[in-house]
Amino acid sequence: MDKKILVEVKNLKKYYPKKNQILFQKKSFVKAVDGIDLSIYEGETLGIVGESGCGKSTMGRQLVGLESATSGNVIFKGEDISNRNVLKENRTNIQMVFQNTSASLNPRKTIRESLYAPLHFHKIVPKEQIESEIERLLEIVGLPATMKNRYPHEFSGGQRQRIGIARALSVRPDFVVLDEPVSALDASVQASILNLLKKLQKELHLTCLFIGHGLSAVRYGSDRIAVMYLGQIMEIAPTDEIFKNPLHPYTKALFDAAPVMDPTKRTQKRLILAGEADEISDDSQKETGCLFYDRCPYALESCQHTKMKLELVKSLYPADVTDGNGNKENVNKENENEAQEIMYHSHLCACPVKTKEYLQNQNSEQRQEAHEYA
Amino acid sequence: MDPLLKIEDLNIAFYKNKTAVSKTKNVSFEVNKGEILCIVGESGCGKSITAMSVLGLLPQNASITSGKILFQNKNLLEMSQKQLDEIRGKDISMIFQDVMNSLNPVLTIGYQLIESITKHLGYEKSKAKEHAISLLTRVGLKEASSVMKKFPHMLSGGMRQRVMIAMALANNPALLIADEPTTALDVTIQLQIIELLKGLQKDLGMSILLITHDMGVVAELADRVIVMYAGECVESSDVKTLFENPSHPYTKALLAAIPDASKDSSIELKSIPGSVPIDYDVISGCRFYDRCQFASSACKENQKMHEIEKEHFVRCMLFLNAKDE
Repeated sequence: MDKKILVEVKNLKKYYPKKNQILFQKKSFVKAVDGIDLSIYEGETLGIVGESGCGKSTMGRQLVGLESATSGNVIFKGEDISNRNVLKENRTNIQMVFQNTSASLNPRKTIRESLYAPLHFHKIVPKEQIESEIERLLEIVGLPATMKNRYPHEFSGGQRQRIGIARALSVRPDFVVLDEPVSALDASVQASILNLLKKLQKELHLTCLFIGHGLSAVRYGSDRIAVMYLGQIMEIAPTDEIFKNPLHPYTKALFDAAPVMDPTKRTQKRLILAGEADEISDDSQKETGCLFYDRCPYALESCQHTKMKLELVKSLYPADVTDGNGNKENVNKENENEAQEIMYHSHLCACPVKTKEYLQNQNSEQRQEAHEYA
Repeated sequence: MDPLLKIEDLNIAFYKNKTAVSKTKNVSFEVNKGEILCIVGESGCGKSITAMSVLGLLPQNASITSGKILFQNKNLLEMSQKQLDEIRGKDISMIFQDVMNSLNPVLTIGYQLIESITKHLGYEKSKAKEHAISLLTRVGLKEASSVMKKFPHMLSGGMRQRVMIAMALANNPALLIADEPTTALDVTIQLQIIELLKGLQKDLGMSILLITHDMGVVAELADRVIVMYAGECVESSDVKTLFENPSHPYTKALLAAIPDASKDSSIELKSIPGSVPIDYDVISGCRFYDRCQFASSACKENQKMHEIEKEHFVRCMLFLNAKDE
């Protein structure tokens, strides 16, 4: 279970200049993505959650090369995609599925034409086989091949999303960015698309970035989850861990805000956030302190001045990993690989206050346990 | 006690090339005083159009072909436009999903609020302004007097929805119709709005008719629920019963299809095969027939609502003998 990094994001930033500025005034910027470090490992699905405007879609587009970076790098298989030639080579390896199913398909082209273009241009299959390849693609996304001569408007939203997925998969990518693939769909259709994505990911060994604001959908599909707020990552951990121990107050609030599907639990206590997320511009005062300071119910005086950083809470990487036969795995594997493995399994949080509290609690629990045992 | 709003056998049809296409079929329900009734269903099931018809806001190519809409025992369909204007915005008010398009972009929030107050309550301008500010404060907007001077585009989505709610509350309505009030909002803001509506309903004792597609919102807010599918009510009950004992195959399937954030993610979701039929008015018998796993030949006949428990109605063959048991 070696985990190799497929995509590495290094201090990625995207600033948009503000409009309506007075001539000669110092330009100010909105920080959509503000210094993100992230590694996406081969074969995993990384979920990104956050409110609208937190920069999650911008980052997704940057990973595909649809949006340039103000600074920082996106490194795909060891090469920087801000280099045009590298990006060109990797166009087929990196694909995207969009949220708006009707706007992302050309209304004047039949499905066959839309799927024909990438197959033909990138010479994925010999010319004679293109037709059968189109039929195969439609089949794997669960559409009858007889529909290929229809236009996008003849399909329902769920079917169009299936076509979007088929188009993304047609060039046989390694890495797919899914930008809110189900949020525009009805509940009953959502489920089938989520199931389809999960199945395809497993069969084709895809690496995915699943962007969504619906927590439940993201949880369903992801191995790890990163929580974004105002262009920065607040917390990142394996899915089960982050749901069990959400540490950052924002993560907690976000999880609490998701509607509970049980009317009897309506009265249970939950963390309700006041206010709304502002945009961050470079003249903002939040520069120095925690971005979440003004909405955080646990905020301390010191939070206003300390710059927060993602810090390791704990690593869930098991010390003794045993393989299927019960044998201990080779402990002396390359150091680099192991370091990556550890990072993959670790829980990082950008709230020093809560992290400290949590670790102290855990320590005292352990001590108590040891005491009782003695 | 008479219900506040009673809808009886409402049929709405759209006209397409001069042929009528039925959109809702014999929809009947009641909204009692002080309760929150949710109509839940997927897009195109006729839930919004039902709500619009109450206020006479149907698009031009649609019309009510039969049925009654009784509000405080008066039939709204027989009223003149002038009489309706008296009720709209006063006794019944509405908030919409698309807040940007339901506020006038060239007028300030204050102007739009005061306009409604002076028209319906007959207040003087200064008193109306005071009232408006108190309303904005009530819906949780800080610095209400500065919000009054702002234009809709200067506010965020959540704030705009709060302004809409303030506007709807301006004249102490007996019934608030909320058409997908939280759909366009983030989850954190959605929770704020849900809590706000809950609190307002409790304080003011009004009734709310909530239209939504989100079962989560239903679980959070509703007292009673009506599930609609393809223009028909398929199940109605109080909210606890519905989540404990969903009985119509569609309701069951819908609840099973929603990924639950509090549950393990490794289980496969149960999706409903197929999609909502588009021309559903030509289907005879059960409209869920094609997608239902329990379908039998008996489903091809017209289905009635069966009462399977007290106040729990289901439109399905499976419960044909429920009454006798």
